[in-house]
Amino acid sequence: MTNPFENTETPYVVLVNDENQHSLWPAAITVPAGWRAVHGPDTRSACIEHVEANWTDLRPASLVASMKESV
Amino acid sequence: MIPLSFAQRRLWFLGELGESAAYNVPFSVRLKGSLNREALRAALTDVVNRHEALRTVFPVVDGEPHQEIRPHATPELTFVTCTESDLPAALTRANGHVFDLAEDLLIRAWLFQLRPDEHVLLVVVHHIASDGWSMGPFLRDLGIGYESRCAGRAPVWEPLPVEYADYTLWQQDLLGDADDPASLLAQQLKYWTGALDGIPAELVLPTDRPRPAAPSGRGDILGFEIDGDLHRALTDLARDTNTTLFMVLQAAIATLLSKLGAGDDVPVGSVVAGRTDDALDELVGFFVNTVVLRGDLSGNPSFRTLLDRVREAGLAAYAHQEVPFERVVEAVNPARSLARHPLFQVMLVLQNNSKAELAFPGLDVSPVVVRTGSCKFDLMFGFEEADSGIGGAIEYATDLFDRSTIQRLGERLVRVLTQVTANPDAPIGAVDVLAETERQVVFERTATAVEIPDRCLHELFEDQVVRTPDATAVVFEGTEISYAELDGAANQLARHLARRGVVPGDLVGIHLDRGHELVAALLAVLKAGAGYTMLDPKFPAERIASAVADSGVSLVIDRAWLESEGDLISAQRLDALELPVHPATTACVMFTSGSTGRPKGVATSHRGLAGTYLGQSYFGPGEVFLQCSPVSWDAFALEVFGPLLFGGLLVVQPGQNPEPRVMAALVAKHDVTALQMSASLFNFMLDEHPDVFKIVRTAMTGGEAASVPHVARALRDFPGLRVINGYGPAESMGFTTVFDVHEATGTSIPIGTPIANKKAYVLDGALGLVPDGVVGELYVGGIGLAHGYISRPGLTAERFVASPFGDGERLYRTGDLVRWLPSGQLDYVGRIDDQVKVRGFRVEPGEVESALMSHPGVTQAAVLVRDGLLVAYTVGGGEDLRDHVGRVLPEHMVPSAFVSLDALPMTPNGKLDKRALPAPTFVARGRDPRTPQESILCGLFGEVLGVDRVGIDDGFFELGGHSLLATRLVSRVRSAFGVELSIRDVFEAPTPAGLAERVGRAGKARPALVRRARG
Repeated sequence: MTNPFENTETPYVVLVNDENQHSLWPAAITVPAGWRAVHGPDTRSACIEHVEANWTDLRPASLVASMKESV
Repeated sequence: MIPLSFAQRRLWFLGELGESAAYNVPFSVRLKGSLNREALRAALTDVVNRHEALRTVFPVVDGEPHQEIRPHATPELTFVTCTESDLPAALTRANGHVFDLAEDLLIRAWLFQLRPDEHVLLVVVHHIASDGWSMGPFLRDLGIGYESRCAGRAPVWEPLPVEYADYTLWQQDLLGDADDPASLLAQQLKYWTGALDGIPAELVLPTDRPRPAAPSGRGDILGFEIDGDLHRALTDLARDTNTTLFMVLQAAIATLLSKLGAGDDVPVGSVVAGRTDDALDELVGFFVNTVVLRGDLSGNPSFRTLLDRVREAGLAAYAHQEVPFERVVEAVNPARSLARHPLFQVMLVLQNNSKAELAFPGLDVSPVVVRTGSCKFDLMFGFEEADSGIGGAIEYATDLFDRSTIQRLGERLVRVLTQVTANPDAPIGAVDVLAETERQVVFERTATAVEIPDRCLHELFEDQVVRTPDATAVVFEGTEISYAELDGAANQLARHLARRGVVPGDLVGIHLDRGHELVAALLAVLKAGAGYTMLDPKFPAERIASAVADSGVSLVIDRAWLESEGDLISAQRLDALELPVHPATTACVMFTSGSTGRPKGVATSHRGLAGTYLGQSYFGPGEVFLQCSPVSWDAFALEVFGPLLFGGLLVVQPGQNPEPRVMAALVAKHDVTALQMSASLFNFMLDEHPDVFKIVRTAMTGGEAASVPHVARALRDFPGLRVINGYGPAESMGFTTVFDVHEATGTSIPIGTPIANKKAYVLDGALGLVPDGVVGELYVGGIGLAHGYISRPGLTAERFVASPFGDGERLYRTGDLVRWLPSGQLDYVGRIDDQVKVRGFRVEPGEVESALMSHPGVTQAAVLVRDGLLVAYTVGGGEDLRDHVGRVLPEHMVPSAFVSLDALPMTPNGKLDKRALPAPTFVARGRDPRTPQESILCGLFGEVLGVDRVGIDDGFFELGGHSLLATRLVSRVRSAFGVELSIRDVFEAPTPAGLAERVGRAGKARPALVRRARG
């Protein structure tokens, strides 16, 4: 079987949730609840580049916010 | 002599393979009213004498069968009195009659008398003499014959234009010679070899049992209904798409089977009437031919697009239907096996033969179903259109399928048909084959929520310190420290770390040998609000440097640092820092093999770690854990926090790797209750140190497939032992699913169900839930899920993906292929990619290949696992290759064998041809033994490594040895010489000559392990 995230021929989107976590996502599959598309449809590599450029802090947004408060 | 037609030749050949009734074609009718038996008997004889095919036999002359047409024949008609309830079995029994093709008339009939005015007629004809179409002319002629004989005269019917033997010769002329490229045969074969190129040798079907090497041919049949509304929708869709009902059914079956794991290339068989000339219409005989219809489901097309493809492929196939199927098989030449039908294993039949009806004057005639009890294919889908609705039937091989599975298959097909007619433009990946009840069951399996405190690891530990300050927390080499002492030491170090600038959110490396200090350092880092990353002292310096650089470690605690800062640390206060640390803060980063040649650091929060231990059934107070796993593993954290969060005792084993002998001694000395081991280590302990399991109460194994015989033995020999088979990647903080093993049977040990607060889904290529029994990829989530790969956002977004089910949740796609068993447990099947496990260690061959390629002489490299050993294949390189990779890779990633090739073998489409890679040969090159000691050592090497001859200069690791085998060697040396060598000796002096010297120097072995009396 093939994994829908490994096909380099088909288009993808980049999804983001409320925690600013990013997910690659096959464009042909419905965007699940709690996520919104922020890039694409685009090639797989372009989507990965978008993630690399825009997701610089892997910590969940709620953690980032709470650490700011405590400083 | 008349030769056989092509189709007859295939059936004759199948008959030679073994006597079987699989190719009997039964026909049965119920006759109500006053029956004239003698007229029936005479009419049967009349029909046989009208159709040559029914009185042809196939004797062999000089090894070749030929058709011998008997001038006259009288078929046997047996009268049987029978009750209604015995009838089905009687019909099946009669249909099991085995014909001798060389001798027998290939038609027989039975008349079962149920009541004086009610009979059931069964006519059985061998397929070599008839086909589905033949029923029409046969029954029409039988009716005419009966009517005439009732009237006391011979029947008069239209003379037949030709007979079957004429057809045989005509067919040969028509097809021509395969050697003549202009012949129809050659041209059609050319089409088929192209159309069927690369066809799967065997379709993956959702079977209940593996395919036997010698199929029994037994089968059964199960009916289902397609209602009038759906029937209309199907015919409407066929009309809209310029296809046929058959094509719609074929596309739906291909979609269904693909959803059930068959992949995206789904061939099914179909029959064509083969009566390509009007002159053949009125004949009884075997004309039918088989064609392969290949369904191309690649790229997740819409059902409408799939129908287009099915139509094009179907029309092309029908345009080349004259070439006999057996010639196609010969030409395509797939990997043949007697265990399966060649080229396709699933047959599809839509009955559109003009309704074959028997008209007997004065009798009420109705059809009777005969259960043949046999099958010709793995699955045969049969359909017959009624005025409203379609009758469906699935004939299935009982070797492979249970009736309940086939029942569900029929239901699923109806579900697929309903969805594709409702929305033909939706991608077929979106088709759902699960019933709502099945979907609920899947979600119930992951409904694992349990309330646990949302606190940091060190806070949970501190809570425990308050509860049991004086209890022993850690014991190492005879020295015990209490919870309060450990907490104090950790607090001092935490305060010092803070003074050195470590702040919450930082990452601190720990590069220490195992001991109290390591445990205190780990807690100190957490107390300072930082995360720890364990740097295994056994790993090459280069790898550690890369991990440090990659993860942005702000400080590394090593021996030198502790010594230089020692006074400052001990001057710190003993109480806690009380820093506010959010439970989502990264608590640890674990490095694991990365396919691109760079290890990747998995960053996990306090919550992820704590949630793996809290609220679970296998952790609790009073446990004694042995910490023996390598510190870089997720299992390390389990062994440390498993006891320390619950007031248990942590026994730390010296050294970097689990050392079975030391483990056994520690288990006995400290009454260790919980032991966590890779499956290889579990097997080894059971083989070499079974007494351990008399003491240990819980054995947790995982990291690789458990061995059924070993687990079975453990359960049998140690009834008090709880064996837990766990599964989980570092990305989900280790244990994610567990199986409490109570019985070890079959071919594998399940990996169970998700633990508390973790989730597991088995998904198909369209991210839909797969039905039970179907292989899919395992996606895991819940509390143990990591933040991601440190400094690798792109890779994180590729592997930690949006959950199709949870609201904004993520799932980690594991790359592991699994399926749900009927028992509701997960069963591990294999990997979707190249990742391999070597003695429980996760290894990406790509990373090892990168290390090999970094050698200046290597131009090409491939790495794979053979018989549990990592084998490197290189083009170029030299004698120093092993040393070279040993400098950059940890020991478990250094291949056991290096094979130098002139070129890597490639498949026609340019991929590495793994099957063409030679098995490594461990060839001994060293000198012969000079002393009895060397001779014994050479023997022990050979025994442990499974090598015939070993020379005194041959290296243990060059011959395929690894650390666990080294342990076995040490154990053998102890038995043979009564001396104690260490694993280190084997690493330092890995040849029989070298070890012989050490054996000479070594002291007497320590006394045998015995169990102490319990206090």
